[in-house]
Amino acid sequence: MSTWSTALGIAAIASAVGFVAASIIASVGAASGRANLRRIARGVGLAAAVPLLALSSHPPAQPFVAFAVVAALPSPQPVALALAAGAAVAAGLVPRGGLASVALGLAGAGAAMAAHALGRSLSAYLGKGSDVAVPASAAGATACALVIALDGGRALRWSHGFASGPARVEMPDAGLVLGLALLASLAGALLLGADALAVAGLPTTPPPAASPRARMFGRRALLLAAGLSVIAAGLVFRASGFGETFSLEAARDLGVLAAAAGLLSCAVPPLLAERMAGDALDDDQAGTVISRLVVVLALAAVFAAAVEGWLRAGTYLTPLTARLLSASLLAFAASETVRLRALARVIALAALLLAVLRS
Amino acid sequence: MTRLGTSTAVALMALALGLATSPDLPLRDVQPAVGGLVAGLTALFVVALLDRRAPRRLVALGTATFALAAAYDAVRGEHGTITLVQGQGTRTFEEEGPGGRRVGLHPLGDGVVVDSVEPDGTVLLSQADARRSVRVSPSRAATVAGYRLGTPQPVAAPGSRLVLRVSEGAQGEVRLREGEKGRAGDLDITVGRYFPDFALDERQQPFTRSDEPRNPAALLEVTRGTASWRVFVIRAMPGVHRPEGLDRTLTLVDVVADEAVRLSVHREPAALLAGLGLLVAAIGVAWSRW
Repeated sequence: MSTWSTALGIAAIASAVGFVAASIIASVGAASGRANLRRIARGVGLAAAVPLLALSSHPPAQPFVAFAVVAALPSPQPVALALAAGAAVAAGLVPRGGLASVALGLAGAGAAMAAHALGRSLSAYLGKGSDVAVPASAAGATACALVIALDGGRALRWSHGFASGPARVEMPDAGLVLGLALLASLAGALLLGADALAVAGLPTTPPPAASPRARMFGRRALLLAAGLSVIAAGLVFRASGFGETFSLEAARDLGVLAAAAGLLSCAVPPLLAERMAGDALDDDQAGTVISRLVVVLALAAVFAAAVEGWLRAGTYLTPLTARLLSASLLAFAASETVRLRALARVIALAALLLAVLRS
Repeated sequence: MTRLGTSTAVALMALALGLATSPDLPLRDVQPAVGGLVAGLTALFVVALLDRRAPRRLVALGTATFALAAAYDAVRGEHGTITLVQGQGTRTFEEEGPGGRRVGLHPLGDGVVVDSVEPDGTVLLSQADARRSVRVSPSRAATVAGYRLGTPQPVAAPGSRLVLRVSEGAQGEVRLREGEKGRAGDLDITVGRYFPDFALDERQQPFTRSDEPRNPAALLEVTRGTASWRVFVIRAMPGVHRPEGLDRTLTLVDVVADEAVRLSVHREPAALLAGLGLLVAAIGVAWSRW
């Protein structure tokens, strides 16, 4: 591994730390309604995105760089910035080589905009005085799903590993920590979800906690899961010889862990706020506009994938084209629906991220 | 506005179409009727969008154009593969129907010969009728008689190559298939017969017990100038094959699997229309009320 590559890897990890910090600051700023904190979050996010530009010459890193840069550009959204942390790690550690793809770059940018649209949905939801425990519980459930998705769900058996060339590197210590992270995030999701369900339908806004103790334990469980995710990421990084033997799978695993840690961290500040600040109508309208932009970007990505497929493989009906077409239809559904908008935007975001990660 | 044109209905149809067309959800493997369902749902989706304002109609037009073009190319387009070893040519390709089903040989419209295969996987093809050469690399397809040839992949060929070495005096090594002729040192060598798993029958006649190269042997025709020899070589006995009157030793060093290259072949007449449909749909979405 050359000195330049090592420097880029370190810069990407520093960038990921910056994105997580920006995500937490943005979350605190949104919860407390302090505009100066949101400005600081934006500055930190933009500063974190700058080192990633050096990685834009590496084709496999380009979609992740596009995601991180676009996530940092508009107004600071905790969800987008948390996911950008994962993208930064993946961009820095993904193996070199391969062909540049405009389609994947557009898909990365579209996914970042989808994360922004989701963030706006959540802001609108919380701005209406809805229960903050619901999105926090969803963040815990998402982190749970992300940990299960790693290495074919081996965290359920307290083990973890990754392929390194023809061999496989087993990491029992990381498996143990991941198992604990899974339990902690599951506990947080269940405690907060159960508490939110217990007070659902009450006329007061925001609804009071059914059990302050359950909320407290749920919040602490989420924080514990975030910490354990960071420790697990560190163990995976150490096992890879500090970035020397990284496979694509290991880079993705680390990116997923960083994103999970970011999501869990930015879910906690709203739980500490007495009442969420924000303009629900403004967020709703901005979310609709961003959703349309996601569809346009996704369709542009489909077009680019079709052209690339025709030029490279001789056919435009490639798996990438199909994946992006499916994602653009799901994004279109999210931009059209007036019910369950947040859920529809989650599906659109997942489809776009899947298209980037599986290609 | 009919119920079909409501935002919820359009969103539900887009959601269903998105899930049904995803290659990550094996819905078509589970239920083959999903293809028909997608076609019907696409038609409904287009009708629902036509019910709206001008930008939506553009989206409908784009969607219909893309769907028709993609369906035409998937069903009526021609897809298949060509597998050739270096120096081999063909005028046909193995056609595949929808779902990867093999449907037999299909004329290519021109003859192609693999001139060379470069270390990075790039294949140099020469066209017999057009009298020109094309390069097909892993990152760039090429057009041959209206077909797009791309994604060259090395595959194991049915045949094998014999590694023959000439020693003592003018030395050399050559790799030949059965029936091929080559030069090693100052000798011209032709592989007359190849026995992958050599054995002798009751009448002491050579035969092969299997197609696996367990005990390879070959009967060679060796010429130098006007003189010629018939030489039998067997891998199990290296360095002993020296026919009378020839001051050279011939050795069957090894048998290596013949490497062929497989190219994908596609003909999609509606590709341009599909691209146009996507652009129109994107313009329609971008033109929508922001």
